[in-house]
Amino acid sequence: MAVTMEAAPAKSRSITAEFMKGLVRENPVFVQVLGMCPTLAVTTSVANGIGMGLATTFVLVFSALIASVIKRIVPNEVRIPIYAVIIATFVTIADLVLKAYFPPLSASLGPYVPLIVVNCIIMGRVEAFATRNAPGISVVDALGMGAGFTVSLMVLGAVREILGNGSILGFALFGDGFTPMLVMILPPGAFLTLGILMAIFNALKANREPVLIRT
Amino acid sequence: MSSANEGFVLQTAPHAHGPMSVPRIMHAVNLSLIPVVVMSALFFGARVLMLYAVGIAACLGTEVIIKSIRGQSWRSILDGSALVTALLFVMVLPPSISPLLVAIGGVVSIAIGKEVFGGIGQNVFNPALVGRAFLSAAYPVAMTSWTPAREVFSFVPTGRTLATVDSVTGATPLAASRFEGIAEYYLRLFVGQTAGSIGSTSALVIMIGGIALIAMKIVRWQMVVSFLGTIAALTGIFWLIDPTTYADPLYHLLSGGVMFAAFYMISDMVTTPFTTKGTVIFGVGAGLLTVIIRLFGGFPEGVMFAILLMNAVTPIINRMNNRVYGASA
Amino acid sequence: MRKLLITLTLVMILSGLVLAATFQGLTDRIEENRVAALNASLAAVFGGDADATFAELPGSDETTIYEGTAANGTALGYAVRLPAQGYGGQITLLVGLGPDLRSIRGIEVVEHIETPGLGGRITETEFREQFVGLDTQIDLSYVKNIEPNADVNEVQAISGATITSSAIVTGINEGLAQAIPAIEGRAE
Repeated sequence: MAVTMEAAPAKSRSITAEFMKGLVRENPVFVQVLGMCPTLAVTTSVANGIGMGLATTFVLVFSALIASVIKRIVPNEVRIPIYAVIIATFVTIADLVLKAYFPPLSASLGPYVPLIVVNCIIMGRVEAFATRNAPGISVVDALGMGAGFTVSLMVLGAVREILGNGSILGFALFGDGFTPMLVMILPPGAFLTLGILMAIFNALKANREPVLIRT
Repeated sequence: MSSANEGFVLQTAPHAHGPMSVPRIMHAVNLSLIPVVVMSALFFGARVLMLYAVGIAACLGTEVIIKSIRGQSWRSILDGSALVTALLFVMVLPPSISPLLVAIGGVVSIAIGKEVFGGIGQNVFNPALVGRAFLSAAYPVAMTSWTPAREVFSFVPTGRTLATVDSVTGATPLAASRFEGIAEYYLRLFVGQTAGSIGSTSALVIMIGGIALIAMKIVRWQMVVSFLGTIAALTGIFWLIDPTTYADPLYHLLSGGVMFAAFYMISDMVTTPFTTKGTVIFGVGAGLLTVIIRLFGGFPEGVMFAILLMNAVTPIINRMNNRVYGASA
Repeated sequence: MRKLLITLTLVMILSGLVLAATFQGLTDRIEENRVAALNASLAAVFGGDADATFAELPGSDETTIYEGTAANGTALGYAVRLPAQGYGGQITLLVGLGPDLRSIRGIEVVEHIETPGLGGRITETEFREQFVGLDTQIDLSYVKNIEPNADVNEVQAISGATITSSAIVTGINEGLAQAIPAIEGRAE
């Protein structure tokens, strides 16, 4: 992992900064490269990206909240099993709610909703942030990470849906003359898009940071 | 890099230079492709010349743009390697393809096939085939629509237009022989007056340029022979077992992209092994995969995937066969 | 040690309670969704009669059979849910048969993971319509690049997706070969 996780309590930083870091500086997809399985698998459309992003954010926020609240009463030896149970509980709730109220979305996300349980972003934030910080700021951190994840998935989904299907959120963008670039909604398209977006992200970041060595 | 006034001049390897420089090799390959360009224009019309132009513009343009983004000199396009990629890329496309797709594929060839790895000499996969593989996955219908060649040589009978391996699975010479004599059919395949990719139909013209490259020691004959030999031997075995189901070796050699790949794709110096033993392993592996994909795979033509897969194992082949100077044993 | 066990047990119990409550609250709705989706595809097989009712009959190993009745009580025929081995994985089809089991009324693709734009085009009306009216007494077959002859049960394969087209044809042939005797056996 390229980024060192937040280890010390983040008392000094503002709530805004805590939220914003998830969007850009510590973006879970483009910078931390976490949660690649749903990132690559479900981003065939914008709607899927938003659905997966929001479901993950829901699990992330509530797991972080509970983990932060109970951090003092949890014995260190069973920390991980307890967090796993908490995360699994919220994932199951999210899965059931999607099945009950958004059956088409649930069908298109398929097994990737239950798989949120093994998404490293959640365990990562719970372990690295929520267990070391107050509940309030943990929720802000979780919201920021969730927002960063959701926006990243939306961008990936948008690029792939526009190029691979000629539509956005299901609305056709082009006339009959447009031949969709099929590969973009197939698995190789996920890797290509992610790689190119990551390169752009890195290039933008590099321009903002001081350059020490130029080769 | 080095400062002469220190008394010692430090240089990195390689220290021994051969007479052939990269630009010279690339220009020789480009020249050897001229007969193929001419022949493809005769068979598929002047339109393919426009496709070549689009492909060249896309490839060279992409290289210039990427080099300038990275703050490097755009003059690298003068080494001729981007031109080789452009020509080879257009030659493995179907003649009816739209110029827009040629442009997209050309950009992908150079950008994703070559420059993301760091430019010439650094790429893992053959850039022209990366472009073609991308188009095959992106536009499968356009990439499998074939047009028959025009009747250029009247001594070559046109017969009933039968597609090659590229287009229809199972159009074996046996099926063809019901409409025309076997000999005429092979003559047609050999001259290239048949349906197929722009530059890869004519074994005759490909061999003219290819043998010139072998004579100039740019293409290693061991590689060509091991590739073609493996295909001939394997398809021969299947043909002897069951001639009604499997086509004969000659058909497999002359149809599809085999001849073109033998002289121009597997001979790419960057993406294939650098020892002679390594090139033979590469040739046998590519031939084996080609036959497996052709006979048992979901695609009618397997040359492209065979070569890309072998490109991926080239670093391992190099490791296995590379003597480390100074190392024991 | 005691604190460890108590905390772990407590978290498990709480989690179990929360999940049980959520499940209780949502299970009816989830089941309704499932039935609605199944009925919608069953109705689509018989031309979209939204008020038709369907009853499940005992099928064979791989197929499930539904008997359809229109809102006014007339028999619609039978729908057979059957698997086909596609290019990407298993395809689940619903094939509608007339009450006399002699002809196909329509087909619906329930589930598939074929390549979008190629094999995925089996869900398009153009492809599915070809099966309407075909004879169940002769095996289906497919043709490429030439006009299919419906009299001998030929359908046009999807361009670039021969494996998927072939899978559908084979799947229907094999599924019906099991299902039709099963339905007939029941009627006797």
